[in-house]
Amino acid sequence: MISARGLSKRYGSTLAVNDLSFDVKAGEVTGFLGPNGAGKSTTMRLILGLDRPASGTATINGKRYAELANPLREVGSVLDAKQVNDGRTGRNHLRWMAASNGIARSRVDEVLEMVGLTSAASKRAGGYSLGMSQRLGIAGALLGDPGVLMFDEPVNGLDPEGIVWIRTFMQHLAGQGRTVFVSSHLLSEMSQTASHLIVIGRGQLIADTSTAEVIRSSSSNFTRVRAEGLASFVDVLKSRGLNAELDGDAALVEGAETDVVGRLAAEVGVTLLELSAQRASLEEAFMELTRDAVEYHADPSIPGHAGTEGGTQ
Amino acid sequence: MSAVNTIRAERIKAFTVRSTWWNIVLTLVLSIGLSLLICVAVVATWGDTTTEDRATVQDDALEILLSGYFFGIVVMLVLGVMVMTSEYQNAMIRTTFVAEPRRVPMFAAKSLVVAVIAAGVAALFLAGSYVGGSLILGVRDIDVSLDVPGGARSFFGIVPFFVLAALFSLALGAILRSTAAAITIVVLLYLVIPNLVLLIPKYGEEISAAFPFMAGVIFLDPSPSSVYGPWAGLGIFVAYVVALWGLAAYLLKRRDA
Repeated sequence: MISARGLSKRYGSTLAVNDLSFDVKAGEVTGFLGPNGAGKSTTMRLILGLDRPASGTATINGKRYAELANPLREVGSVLDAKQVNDGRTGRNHLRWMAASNGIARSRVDEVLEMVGLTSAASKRAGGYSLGMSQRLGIAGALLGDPGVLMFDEPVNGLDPEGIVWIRTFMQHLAGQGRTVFVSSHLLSEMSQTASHLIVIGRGQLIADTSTAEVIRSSSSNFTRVRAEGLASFVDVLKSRGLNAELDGDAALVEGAETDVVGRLAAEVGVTLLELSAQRASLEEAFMELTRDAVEYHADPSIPGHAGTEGGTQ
Repeated sequence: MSAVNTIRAERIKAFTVRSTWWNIVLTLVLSIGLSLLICVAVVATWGDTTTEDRATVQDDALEILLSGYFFGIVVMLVLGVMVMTSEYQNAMIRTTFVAEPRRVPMFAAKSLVVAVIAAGVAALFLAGSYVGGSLILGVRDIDVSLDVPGGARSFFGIVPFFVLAALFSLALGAILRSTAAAITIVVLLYLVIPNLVLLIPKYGEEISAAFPFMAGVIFLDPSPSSVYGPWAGLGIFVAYVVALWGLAAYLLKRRDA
């Protein structure tokens, strides 16, 4: 399990991560969601001990990363697609990684097989495509058969086939009871892989809840209406208890179905010029959620979150 | 992550990039080749050499036969730099720190691997130059013997000289994290600056002797320097390497990756 407690990181005058606390629970895919620059990669680097936090701690299975005796056996991670020297073959890259953590050499060929890189294993990594590099990274993450896996934006730049492969693979890994912590700036991507979401903006926690809850609470549907005598029709809608307001030459009715508005128009004899359902996309909803990131604060009462774990260390 | 595992990992890393092999071969070809070439030149011009000069050659036979190290080691410096800076290609260093989060032991293991490579290359250079050079000089009955003043020191001293030079450039590579920058600086420090400052009137030699590699050269020189003795030279060279290595280890530990 991954735990962050009061994690902060400052780059010059920018507070990249600000007092972040969360737990990533075992046996499910937890999405780490936030717009670009929200501090996701920084947080992951702090968890892996690559960067030093200004304050706070990050632990994996109760230990700081540097305290893990053989870290690759407990945590597998892919932070960058290209995290290998171009001159080394894929197999040799995995060989030194295995040696560093006392992992049997036979495991190298096993993980190469797992990610489908066997045929390219003797080629130098400089010639790998982005998808192949990503697979090599994942092979490295799986070397030590770790219970915890971390991926930073794993689908970035991949072709559709690669995206589907990664998505399926992550669910497969979680299905084996592993903890999978994966970051993305796309809610639509996360909604298909993650069952739990930790949402951050400007380095702060915005939400820590189930994916279904995030989608439900942030999705918003409107009915867009243009009609003759629009202003008075809006008054009619309001008098029927609908939340309607003028928006330029049209009116927006929150949540209402087009059927309801259409029948109402017929009832009061209003000529409709336009009637359409407006569905905010997941991405719009997400932008809405994170736009004023600093106005949102972690709500410890949101179900399914820390606090049950006994609080800060 | 035991020490043995870390050393094994660093050994695999060092020998699975082509630059290491190229640099080893090139160091040997350049250093042994130059040594033997100079021996050949001595033999070829023997007929035109005065009796007086022949006596000098006889006295300096060992020095002549080892002279190729001076340029061959430039490639050894490149090797030292590249073993470290190859980590900074792409995001490789993150993989290294993730697999080996205890950074100073990782750097120590890397240093050990580089030291062993440098010592091995130095030993091969000594063997090749000595055997080949003795054969070539033997044509004119020039004796090569370690049993001359400072002979054993300048012969066997090649090994620590190679090791220290490689560790110096490894540490510089770790500090600068850039192949081009580190190679430029190490070559300036080795070949250019100590010779340029010799032009400074009066104190030129003293200033030149204060540079790390010059201290190493003074250690190897069979004839004593006017500035300080050979063992002081070794001490100064070691002190430079220890200081630079310490700085590199400190920065590795401190810096974000």
